[in-house]
Amino acid sequence: MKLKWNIFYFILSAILLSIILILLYNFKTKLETEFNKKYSQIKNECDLVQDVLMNNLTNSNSNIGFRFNDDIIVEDTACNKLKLINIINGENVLIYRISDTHCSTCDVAGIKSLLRTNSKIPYNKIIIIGSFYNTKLLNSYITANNIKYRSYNLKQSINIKAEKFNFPYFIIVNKNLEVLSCFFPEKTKPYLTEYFFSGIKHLLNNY
Amino acid sequence: MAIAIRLNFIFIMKKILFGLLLILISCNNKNSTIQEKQHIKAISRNIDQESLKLDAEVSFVQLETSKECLLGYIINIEVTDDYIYILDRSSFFVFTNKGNFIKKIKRGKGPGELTRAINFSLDLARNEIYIIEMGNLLHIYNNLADYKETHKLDGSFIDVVRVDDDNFLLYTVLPPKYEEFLISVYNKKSKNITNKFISSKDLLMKDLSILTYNNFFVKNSEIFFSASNSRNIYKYIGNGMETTYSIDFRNLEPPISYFSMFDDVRNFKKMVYNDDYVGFLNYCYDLGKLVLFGFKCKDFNCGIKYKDENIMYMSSVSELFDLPQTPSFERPYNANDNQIHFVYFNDILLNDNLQKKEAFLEIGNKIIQVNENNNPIIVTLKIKEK
Repeated sequence: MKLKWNIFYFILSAILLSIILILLYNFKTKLETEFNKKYSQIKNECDLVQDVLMNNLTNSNSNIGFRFNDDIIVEDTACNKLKLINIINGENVLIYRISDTHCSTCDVAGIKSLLRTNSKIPYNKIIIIGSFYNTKLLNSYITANNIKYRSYNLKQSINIKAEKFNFPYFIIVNKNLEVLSCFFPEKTKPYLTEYFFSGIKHLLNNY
Repeated sequence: MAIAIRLNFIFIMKKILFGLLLILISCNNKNSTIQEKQHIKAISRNIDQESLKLDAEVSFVQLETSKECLLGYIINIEVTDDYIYILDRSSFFVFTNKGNFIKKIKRGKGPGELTRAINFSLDLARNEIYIIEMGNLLHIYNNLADYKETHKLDGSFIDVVRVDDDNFLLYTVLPPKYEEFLISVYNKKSKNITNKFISSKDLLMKDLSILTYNNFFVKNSEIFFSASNSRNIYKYIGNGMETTYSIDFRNLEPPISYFSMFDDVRNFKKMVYNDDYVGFLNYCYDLGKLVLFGFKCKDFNCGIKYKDENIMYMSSVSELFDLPQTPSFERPYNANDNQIHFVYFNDILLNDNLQKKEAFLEIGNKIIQVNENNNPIIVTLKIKEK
């Protein structure tokens, strides 16, 4: 009788142990899956940040020193034609380049960064230069995105390297239309744009 | 022994009869689509461009400009006898053939509304419009853009053409590591992909492709297909795609080892141009007496092949049709029957004429006023039979 009980206990213990092992194994697998998921998420984030920084270190810097032609003409929202150099008016300004050929959410992300920045960039030193086939489209865009900055439409092509990427970018130009700084924002990482703003405010506040 | 010889004789006779039967069937089948592919050799040297010039009747349509129909970056157009259909980054527009605005599809996520349409095509026989949204939604509308139905697609596609009552051909936008086949057949009834054609494994440029919007061309109920990364032009034959033309750009063809040097399309596009080779095939239009191929290299942006020849004469669209050499005439936006259509983005008011607000565009004996900030002009060339 005792032997039977012993066997029964042994089998019961074995079953319980197996169940515990299965549960532990499942828990471990679940943890592993979650870890891998989180790891790949963080790795992707890191890769993206690295790409943005690499892109900005190489592509942005290659634009510094570029000088725009004095005869670049833009259209204001009332379709009047003006020379870019006259708009700058002898000051350093931050220009944000948008276009109807860019990824539209990328363009909008840059505008949101401008609207939300804590870097106190003087309002009158921000200029939006769009490239829209029709200047009336720029007007619709301004209304749709609640843009309060001076905005102009550029119809001619400009040969600055930054244009090649068909992607929005920020540049600071001085009174001679020379590029002092350049940055390509990443829509999913607006804090990087904020770092850029905090790093360039001295170029705009004192000039 | 005698039985064995008799059985052998019967077996051979059966084979001969079967062979004869097959030959008879193939001879009687008038609709047989099996044909030899044509190798086309490109000629790029010593061409008298003047002799290549094509006679065409020009017509202009100024698209109406109003707040409701301001056009931005245009993706694709279709021109029919009655309507002009335009898909831009913001919406899908219908104009009359005189350019008057009729309708645009509302932006949004409701039934039939669009947020990110990427291409469209027409079926003139069924009076239907097919719009692909985000690659995986196929919206069906009538010819006035009234919504009918939506199909969710398993995959990501850039172009569509209707084959018959139940089936569509779809051209994938995914790279080979995600989708091996260029063409998928979608069955409307079963709501499934039922077949796949053209393996990208066989293509030299399998990992290098760009988005092109007019990959299918329907001519006399036959469907032809071209892809940016293939040198072949295919024809749909019901149970597959057969190669109709195979293009050899000869001295402008990059060596086979060249393609493996690139894993980045942008870099390839730049280098292939700098090295004076032909990279991607942009379009192929069957215009009746000739076939027009589009691509880009330093000296040429198109080639023409007459139906009875297997030679492609390299040229440029502007030279071929005596058009102004401006960006709007670098490539046609679409073509049908013997007509090719361009979208003219008021080029004449750019570059040297930035201060002007209006000018005149003159092509052949036709002239039209171009006004700044007006919607573009549709320029149609109807090729004349010589």
